Amino acid sequence: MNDTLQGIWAISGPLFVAIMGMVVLVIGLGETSPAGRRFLPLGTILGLVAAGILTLVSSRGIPNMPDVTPARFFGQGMLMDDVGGWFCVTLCLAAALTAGMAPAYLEEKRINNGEFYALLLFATCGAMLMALANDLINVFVGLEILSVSLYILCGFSRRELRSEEAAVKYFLLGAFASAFFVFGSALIYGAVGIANRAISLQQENVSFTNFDIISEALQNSARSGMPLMSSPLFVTGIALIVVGLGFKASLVPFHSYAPDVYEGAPTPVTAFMSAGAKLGAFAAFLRLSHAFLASDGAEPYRLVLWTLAAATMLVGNVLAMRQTNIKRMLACSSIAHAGYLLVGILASSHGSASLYATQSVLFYLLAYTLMNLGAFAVIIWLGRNGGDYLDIRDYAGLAKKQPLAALTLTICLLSLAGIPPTAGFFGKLYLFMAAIRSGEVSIAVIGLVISAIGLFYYLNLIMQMYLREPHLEFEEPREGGAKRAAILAAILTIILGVAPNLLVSPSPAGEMNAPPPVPMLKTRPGENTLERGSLPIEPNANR
Amino acid sequence: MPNFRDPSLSVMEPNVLSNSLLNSYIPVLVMGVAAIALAAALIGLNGILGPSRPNPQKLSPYECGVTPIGSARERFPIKFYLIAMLFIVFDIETVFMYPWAVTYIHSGGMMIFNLIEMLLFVGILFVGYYYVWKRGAFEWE
Amino acid sequence: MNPAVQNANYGALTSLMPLGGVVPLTWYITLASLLFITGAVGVLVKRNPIVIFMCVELMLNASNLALIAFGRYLGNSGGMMFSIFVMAVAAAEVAVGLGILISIFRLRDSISVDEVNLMRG
Repeated sequence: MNDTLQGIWAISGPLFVAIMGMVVLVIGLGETSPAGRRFLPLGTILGLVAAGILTLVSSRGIPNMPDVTPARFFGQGMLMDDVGGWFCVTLCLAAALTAGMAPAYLEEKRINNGEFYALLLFATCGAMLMALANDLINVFVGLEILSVSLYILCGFSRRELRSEEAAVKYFLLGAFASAFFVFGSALIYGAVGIANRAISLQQENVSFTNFDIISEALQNSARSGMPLMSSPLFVTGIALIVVGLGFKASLVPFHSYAPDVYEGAPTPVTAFMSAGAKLGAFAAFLRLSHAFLASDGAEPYRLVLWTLAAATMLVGNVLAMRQTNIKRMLACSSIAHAGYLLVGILASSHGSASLYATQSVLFYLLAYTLMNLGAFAVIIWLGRNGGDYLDIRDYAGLAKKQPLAALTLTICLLSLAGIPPTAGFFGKLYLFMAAIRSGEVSIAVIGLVISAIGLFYYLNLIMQMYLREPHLEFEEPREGGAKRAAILAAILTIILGVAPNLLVSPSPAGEMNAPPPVPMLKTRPGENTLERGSLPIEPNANR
Repeated sequence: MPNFRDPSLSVMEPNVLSNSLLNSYIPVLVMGVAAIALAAALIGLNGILGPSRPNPQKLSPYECGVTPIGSARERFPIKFYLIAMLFIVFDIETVFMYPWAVTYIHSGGMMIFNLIEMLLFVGILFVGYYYVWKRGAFEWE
Repeated sequence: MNPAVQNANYGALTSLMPLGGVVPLTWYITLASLLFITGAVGVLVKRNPIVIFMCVELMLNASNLALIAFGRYLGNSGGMMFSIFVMAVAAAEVAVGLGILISIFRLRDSISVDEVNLMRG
């Protein structure tokens, strides 16, 4: 019983978000007055801030369990560590920014219902559970809470055919991808169980989908001469899981839905989807690569990841160049960013640079969340009754009409392009540094070249805003919460770009051979987070 | 670990029947024969014992009040979908209660705690139910 | 593991199946794979969203079959637990999917995916 209570405390962040979701859902039923409607987004944001703080507190110290970190809870099914805490806080930030930018937009489309905020909170909760899961079952449940909420959110503008079509497309492909994930998990369950039986380990009360058990089985089976890594069941299982998660993270070749869905969904939903779904999927990727790829015989899988990363970066950037719709352009650029993140995942599968690479992925995800949500918030900010300005040519001369909006969008775009002094620059720097440290030099070079190609379309939009003559007046922009969210995101992007060591302690570039363990987050004095930060790489250290 | 032993399988002790693959299907065969016999007996007894005064209404097959013969591509009012969806969602939740009920008796000192856990689960379901109710999904018109 | 304990806990099936008793595990997994592939091919070739979704359900049920077969074979209840979660999630997906399809049907009186074509860029 005490274990359960400790577990509840450990995952109090996602639990709080879920309870907030239910409260908002029920309150939203009665509220139709303007004042009541203003309360919903405000309450949502406050709840998310509280959940973020709760996560920070609970990820730092679990009462009565000072030594066993990262702690496993709920029958080893969940874990809480700095990596999970970081993901949760980033997700709270993404959801809070979305709730901040949404109200004016939703009000215009007459869909400012409590359900929007409730679904936003449920989706956040699902993604947080994915980040804290230590078992494929829990990853699956989190993935589905996230996806099902996003299906509904995509079709939330229910009087618009475009939105409904996006929802159908996302739903069918998402359900398809989930089926791949489940079948892959089933095969891994069987493969791990059979491997454990072969070396006559205990069978009962053991979850063969648990990451700890899987990585233990990988090591044991390799030692006993029947490596799990070459078992057809296991190989097929991993491949299917990568397909399933690849859909959610919109990796090439599973990206085809992304531009359509991102274009059709209501803009705040697109903003959240681009960050939230990726955060969840990459959290799962990170845990999986630590559990699966740290063992011997993982070379073929690294090759697959390498190919996926290179293809995703290339195709995302090339597609983005051809787009004339800004939402589609950002969708394609988000595909490319998934490719950069995959470089970090690939690097984190090498023991030598694992921690550094994990940190770089976390930092990049935070930077990506800020800059991408900032860009979408500017689109909402400038829009007015009747629709958003979606054509890139509409943004010609924006700097003359709305200088502040142009500046904010420019900061976000520069960051997306990876130009200093922005968070995106350091994010890319860390990712590629991690790749080089781990010995994956080729992918780092490819990534650098491709991101140089990517400069083209971001700078094109910036030049439109500053050098062309305006042909639109940009009257009556929505401003409101979207303006505040955009400016906040831009400021945070700059802060992270000027002083990235506020949050991460990056090892200096020269120390190639220095022992990588650096604290994941800023540590409290006197508290040792080293073990907690480094543990995901060696999941068995504390068992 | 609770005992998941399936009573219908307990007759098949390995040392008696494991020698033949087909033997293990005998219970299935018995089940099939019993089902056919029961159905035949009921219909047959009906025919023998019941008075027979047919009219067209009575001769048509019974199908829950729906016209039995018509186009297969008939459209249903969309309200049926809503009810069906709600039914599926709430119905499937009971599947979580079965394992809980089976293991509850073995929970020993944790009984109250396990009961609270299930009450929380049902409570969350009730939030959904309350939402659907207030939203008017149960009103036919 | 002590075979007596295993028998006591799992009755006849567990002790029969690995010994070549009832139906070997391979058959279950082959059937599950075939169902899964059928579903996947169905998703790719069919045009009606409801049929596509039925194919997805087939894939999920193939996974359930594999999970339960593995669970029985290994004498481990994790597979059954997983399949219960898959069932619940599938139900939620059905509800949401049908809701979205009804909503699109209200707007345009047809749900063929070939006509879902506002956004081709």
